[in-house]
Amino acid sequence: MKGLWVKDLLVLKKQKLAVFLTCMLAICSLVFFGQNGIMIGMAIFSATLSFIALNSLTFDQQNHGLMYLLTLPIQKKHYVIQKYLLLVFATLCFVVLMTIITGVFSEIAHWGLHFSYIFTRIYGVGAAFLIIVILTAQYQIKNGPEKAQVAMSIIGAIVAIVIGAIVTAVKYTEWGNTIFNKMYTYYIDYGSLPFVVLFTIVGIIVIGTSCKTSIRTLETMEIQ
Amino acid sequence: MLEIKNLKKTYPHFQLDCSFTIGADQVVGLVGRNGSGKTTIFRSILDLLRPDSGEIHLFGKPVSQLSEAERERIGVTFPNSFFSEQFTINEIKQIMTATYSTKFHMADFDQRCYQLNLPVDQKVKNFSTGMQAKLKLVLALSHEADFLLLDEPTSGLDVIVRKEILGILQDYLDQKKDRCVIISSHISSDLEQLCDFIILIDDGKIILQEETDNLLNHYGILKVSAEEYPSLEQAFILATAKRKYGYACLTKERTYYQDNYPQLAIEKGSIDEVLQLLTKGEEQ
Repeated sequence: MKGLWVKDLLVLKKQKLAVFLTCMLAICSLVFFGQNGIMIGMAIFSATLSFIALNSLTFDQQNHGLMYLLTLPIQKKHYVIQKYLLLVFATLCFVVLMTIITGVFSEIAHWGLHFSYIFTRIYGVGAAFLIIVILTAQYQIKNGPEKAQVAMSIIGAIVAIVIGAIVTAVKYTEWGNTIFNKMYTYYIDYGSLPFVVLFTIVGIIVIGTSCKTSIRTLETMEIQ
Repeated sequence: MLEIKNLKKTYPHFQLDCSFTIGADQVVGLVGRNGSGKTTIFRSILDLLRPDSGEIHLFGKPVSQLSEAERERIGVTFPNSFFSEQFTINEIKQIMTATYSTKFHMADFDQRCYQLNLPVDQKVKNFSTGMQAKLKLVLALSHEADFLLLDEPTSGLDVIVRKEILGILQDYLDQKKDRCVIISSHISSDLEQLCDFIILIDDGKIILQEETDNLLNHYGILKVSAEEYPSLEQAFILATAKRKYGYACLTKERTYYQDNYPQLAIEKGSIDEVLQLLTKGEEQ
């Protein structure tokens, strides 16, 4: 698996400019959007993450590369596990980076935000995007990069519709407003920890199920 | 070293059905037309596809159960599958070192790259077809593989680069005993030089397995006129094809016909001609 890590780090190294520009954009989002910029900044980070992480898969699949790669002493199972670990690890790095940027910015701008307030928002957005990237990666392993790009757009559209529906429900329906108020009260009473735990549990379930499915896919599919 | 028993794989317009064995210290050439099933056999050996039925054992184990240490003993080249073309040789070297750890011979690899004028800091996408082919082979030989599986390693190359590649391979085989190679090629003259054994495959089935020396020394093509053909001894004729001058007949008893039919034009059978007659001629 060490070879796979080295290969993907070399791929990531080729995309360092994208990471640098993303940091700049994240800072800009904090400057222009204030505290709302925390989630926007993390969304930018997460979008970059999906681009970078899926690119490492695309790198492998270009020119039937996966076929060659799997003739090396690499088990198919290990290949999938390494890719999923890379996605999780990259998300965690971006969550930490965005938390640090926001923390520093919050101090400079005298926002007086608690660490838990910043972290929960960034972690929530990161977890949501990670789930999207994981599902896209699963699709890409099975169907290749071209179809995965279309799938990611569709998943992104579905997520946008779901978010829009939630916002509409909270704003314009009684039941939506009630649920939101209950969650908010729960947040005030118990803090952000239960939400972080919830995001983590949902993330682990999705990642675990998706990883298992991808291993089965790679072990049974014809590698071309 | 490699044992394939009743390997079957069915696609909508193609069915593979073959069995063969390759021992240690053997170089075997797999010859067949495009789409005859060579790459399907290779992919099955490498566990890149699931056969419908049959068994493939490599190093005495089913290929699906090979450990990473056993897979380190395999070296592979494919004509159109490799690391991403965005990598340079220096980067590929880092990946190989991490993948094969102590088995990857960096000094030998560097030396071979230098000898073959392969630029180590340029992206592979900028390499010519010949340079890419050389790099693929050098990589396959860089970790002391005992079993080499080379799919069309000389495809699309000019005669000079082909000779260079075959030379590298021959040197590698001469370095140590018990190394086994299975190689496919459209260019049968390459295989005639290198292989101990030839397997001809057509439409997913093996149509001939023969030692190269036997094939070159005992097989022959008889050029027979339509008038002479009925009186020709048919017992040793393997396949016949109609030609303008009459019939071309493939035999594995060339000397018999040379002795008994001195008036006949009899040529040595090259692998290409044997393949052509066995696939397009009528089998006897």
